[in-house]
Amino acid sequence: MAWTRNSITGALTHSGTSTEFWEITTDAPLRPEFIAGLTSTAGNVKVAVRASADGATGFWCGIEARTL
Amino acid sequence: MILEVAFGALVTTHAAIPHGISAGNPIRLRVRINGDTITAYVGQTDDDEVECEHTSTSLRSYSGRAGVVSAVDGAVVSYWQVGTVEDRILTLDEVGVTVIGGALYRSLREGQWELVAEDVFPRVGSVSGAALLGDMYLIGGGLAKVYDAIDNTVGNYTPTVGALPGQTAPGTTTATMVVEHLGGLVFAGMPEESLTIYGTRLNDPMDIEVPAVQLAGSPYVTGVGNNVTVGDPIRCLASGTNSSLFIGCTNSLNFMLGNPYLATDSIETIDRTVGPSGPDSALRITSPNGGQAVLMHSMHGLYYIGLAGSPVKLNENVLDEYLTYPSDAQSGRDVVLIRDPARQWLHVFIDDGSADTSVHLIYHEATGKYRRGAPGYYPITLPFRVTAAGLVRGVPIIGTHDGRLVRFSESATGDLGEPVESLITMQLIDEPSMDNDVIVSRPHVQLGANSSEATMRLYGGATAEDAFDPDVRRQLWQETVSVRQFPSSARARAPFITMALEVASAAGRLVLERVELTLGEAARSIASGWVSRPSPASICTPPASTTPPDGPSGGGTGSGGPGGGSSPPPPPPPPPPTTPTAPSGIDDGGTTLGGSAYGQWHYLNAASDFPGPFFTGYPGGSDTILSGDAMRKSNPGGIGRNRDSGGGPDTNNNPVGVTSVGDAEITVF
Repeated sequence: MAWTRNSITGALTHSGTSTEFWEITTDAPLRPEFIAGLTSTAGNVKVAVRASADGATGFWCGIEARTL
Repeated sequence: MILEVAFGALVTTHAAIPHGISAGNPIRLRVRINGDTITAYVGQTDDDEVECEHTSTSLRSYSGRAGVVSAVDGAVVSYWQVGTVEDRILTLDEVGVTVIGGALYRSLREGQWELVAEDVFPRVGSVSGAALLGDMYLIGGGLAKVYDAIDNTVGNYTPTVGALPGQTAPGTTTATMVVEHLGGLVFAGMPEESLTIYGTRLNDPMDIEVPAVQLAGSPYVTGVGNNVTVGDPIRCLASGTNSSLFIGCTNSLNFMLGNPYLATDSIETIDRTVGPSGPDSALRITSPNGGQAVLMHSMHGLYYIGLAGSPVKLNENVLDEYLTYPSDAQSGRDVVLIRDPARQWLHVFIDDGSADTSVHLIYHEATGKYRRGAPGYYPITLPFRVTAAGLVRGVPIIGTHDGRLVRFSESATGDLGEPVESLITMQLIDEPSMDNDVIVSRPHVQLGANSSEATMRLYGGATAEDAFDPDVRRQLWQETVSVRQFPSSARARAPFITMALEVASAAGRLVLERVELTLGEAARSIASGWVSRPSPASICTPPASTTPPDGPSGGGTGSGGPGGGSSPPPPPPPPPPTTPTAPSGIDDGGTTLGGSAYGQWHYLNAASDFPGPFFTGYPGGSDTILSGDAMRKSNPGGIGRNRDSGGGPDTNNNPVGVTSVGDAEITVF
């Protein structure tokens, strides 16, 4: 399972409980800003930057739902 | 939080901060990378965002790759955006700063002002400000504050070395004026040291302590005149020409020449008869001909102080009304000068304490060109009191007594909801001598394309003063004129004539481009009733009791007789005059004043637009040119648009005894 993209709304939905990486297809700008809109804190979605090709290595920025 | 992950395993948590968002709520996650710094923001709105930051050089080779990760089934990213962080370079010129009711506001873009801090200064009082090194230093009401335009914060201004003049606690001073000069701040206006000037260290406003041994760039203190204990109180500081500092005192004008940071400074007093009206009544400008100058308003009028240094009274013999006031009225007036570079206006705001009675002036640079005795003054009234003005991103912003910031608009047809009435009284129409009538025919009023229809009236008077006196003059003609209208068929005759233009509707706009007319003259008509017929002189008859004078006595001894024998012989007759061999005098080319004046085209300007020498023949006239309701209100959009005639003909080609001043005015001698 993996991320699927709604072709109409552009929304990404993750299926399964494996940690999986959805990568933007173009190179990021030199001084980028990434913005992700999350429907819920429960998804524990993080933005991975300076990521390896599989996303397993890099800096993950986001929230843990329990962190209030 | 910012985690570093390697091969799917957590290496370390570099930064974390509680986000405070209830579980299950939608959020926005932003991550910005600027160099080696990663900043993560999370929140529901801009206002509740929290951020954490981590700087690392690790994994630079992966900088171009990003995405989202999750291990939660059903996790949804509703939208995803990638942007670029771009530098935005702000200079303090781009940030407008104002103090209203003690609160400090800033403006980053035109027409938008936002509150920075409240209760910075007392709610009532004057504040003086100067910008240096990206900060705005403000003093007033005994307080000294500094506004950081980058951080958008305001705090006490307390030097770290030395103390401000009259400082008794952090953020206090008795100085009332501050300006930037040669890379330092200059303070003056202390009641206890009214003649003294304090300067901070070069490029260091936090150091104001004068050292025992002054080196280049050290703080300095000096006074006006050769002796700091003699002089008159400083009333105004402003940038002067050629990197000098203009120091206006109550009754003297001074310049600080040279560089006080190199000990080459001196204070030169250029005049001991006039002084500025107030702290905001002097302004450095570049005149339309490119010359630097300081413009200053005093109770005697408007002065131009050029590089030569001597003040030149611009309104000399042109206009005293509104521009001048008696010395005992000085304390009740606030005068603010501000230049509008786009419209080529100089605003002279003279507030007398009431919006109803204050009359301000717009000096039209293109007309007057800052020449002594030249025209170009347009009185206006405004429905508010003017307390301050400043140039923000090239646009004059005017602060009002009731706490508003306003500006002039080309499209406005009202002044803050009040309809604007536009009325321009043109200059005097006359031909010398005073004993003739002038005949005006075919006046052609050329209005600007954006002008409303206007009412043109011709007024006549027995004297020049009468022609401008609404209670005495006679209306000779009235007609509605419009844009691109054919010349009028009007014809009027009177000893002195003037023209007035008024918009037909209160919300209309009057844009005046040019006025031309045909001007002639004729002998003074008694039948028209302008002057009364002189009563015949009585017949001269000798009184019956008078003893006829003695005739020549031929040897008498009387002393009063003209024919006494002791009279000296008459002088010899003078030699006959030499016959000139060539024409001389004013008759150039056979043109004579009386013959050629009739039928010439002349150009008119507004009422103040006639030069002094022409008018000096009519005592009291200069005080009455714009008296009464001659200029009640003017459309800020339309008035003053009396644009130069561009490539139009110049009256310099007028063959009669005409002195042309500029390219659109009449002066007939």
